[in-house]
Amino acid sequence: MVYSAVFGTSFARYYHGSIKEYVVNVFIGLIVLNFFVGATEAALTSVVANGTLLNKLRISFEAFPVAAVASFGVQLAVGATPFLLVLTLGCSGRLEHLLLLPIPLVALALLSGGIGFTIAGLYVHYRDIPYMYEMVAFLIWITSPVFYPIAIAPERIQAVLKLNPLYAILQSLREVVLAPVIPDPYLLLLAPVTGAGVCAAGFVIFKTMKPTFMDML
Amino acid sequence: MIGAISERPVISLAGVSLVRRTHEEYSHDLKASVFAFVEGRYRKAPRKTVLDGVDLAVPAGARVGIIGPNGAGKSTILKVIAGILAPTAGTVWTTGRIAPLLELGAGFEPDLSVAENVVSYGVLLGGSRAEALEKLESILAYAELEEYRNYPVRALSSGMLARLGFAVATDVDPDVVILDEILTVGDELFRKKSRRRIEGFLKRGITSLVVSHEMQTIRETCDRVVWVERGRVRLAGEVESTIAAYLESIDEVAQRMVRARYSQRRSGAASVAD
Repeated sequence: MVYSAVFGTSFARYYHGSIKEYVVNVFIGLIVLNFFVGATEAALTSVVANGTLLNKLRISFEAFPVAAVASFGVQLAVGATPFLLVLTLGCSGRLEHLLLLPIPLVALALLSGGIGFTIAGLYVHYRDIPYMYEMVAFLIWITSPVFYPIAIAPERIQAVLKLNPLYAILQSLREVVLAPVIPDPYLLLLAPVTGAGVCAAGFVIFKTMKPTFMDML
Repeated sequence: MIGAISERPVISLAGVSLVRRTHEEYSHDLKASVFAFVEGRYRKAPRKTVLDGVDLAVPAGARVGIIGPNGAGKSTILKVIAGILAPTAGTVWTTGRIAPLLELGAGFEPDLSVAENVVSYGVLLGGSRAEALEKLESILAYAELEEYRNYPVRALSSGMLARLGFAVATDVDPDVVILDEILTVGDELFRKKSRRRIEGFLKRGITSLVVSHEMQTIRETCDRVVWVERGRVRLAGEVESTIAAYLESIDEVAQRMVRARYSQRRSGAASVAD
């Protein structure tokens, strides 16, 4: 609320002069960022926190980061998704956008899962990862266009900001919810492709590190 | 081991070796590791051979005791059999449902209630949620913790925790049961009760592996013994003869230590006399 009052007026011209549109943009940004940071941080400690359990029972290591991200997924599904559905109908006014809504959300879950696998595996070996990841998460926070429109940045910096893997997810979700036209297919495709890529890479990293886990738990 | 038995084994280890990273001199720090690497001080983490070519075949219905000094690799063998640790070399073959009774009180979620922990443990052991809920009452009754069902686990005393751990781990219908020094949990009454349950397992002809330092326990529960030392099987065979050989070697070591101390003292006295 405070944010929208402060930034909303100054950024309104980027949102067709509508503060309402800015608020929805921020809301979507917060959903995505909070999910990403929350789920990855939960995944980070998941394997180490269950070290004693892994020492007495045979359980697959993968279950822990997956469970961490999945629990946030359930929260997202029951908490924010109804709002998103209503907003989509109210703002874009297009019924078929409801079908597109899961694409960026699934991409978000995949991306979080991939990062979660990677840092959970690293944390088994390096116990100072949480401090570093905090910094990385902060960097992701400020480089994600949540409270500001990406258009305010100069061209060159925009190109850098768009490297943020969350950018495609954020932007395509916003277009699905807000735009009265068909969303940019490039972003809508890029989001799940990066998500799946990061998830696969994270899984492979986790798998290669796995044989040494038991010595460190 | 125990070549005379011709029955098909339910557990067999062939040339199993396990090399583990030791925790000494190892940095758990990414920052420190990176700097060490940059400065050229980086060393590979030291490794230690914990198991060294262990061969073991356990026929169905056998009751095997594993003895040996601390750090010999007894618990490690059990963990390899339970599938918790993967061997570096060699093969492990097991069949049937294994109930590992290792580190009993560990692995509970301290903030969840006793009942929730029992159910989640049942699911982790490989059952369904419905099965776990079915077993809940009998487990709570056995652990004598019915009144505490809604208490968070962190509020239990250590004895209660041990009882709960024993109850959840043994309320199963296993083909193989693995016991690591767990016949001494809870108060005297519960100890008797737990002993009865273990004896029940043994009477039903369930294959069992027991690690213990109490030779009396081994004599009572096992029909063959494996003596493990420094990650190797030193001797395997009949209960009495193996235990006797093990105790003899301990006596020898103890005597050697006494002699060493004695001669040390003598040479010390001699130097004083000079």
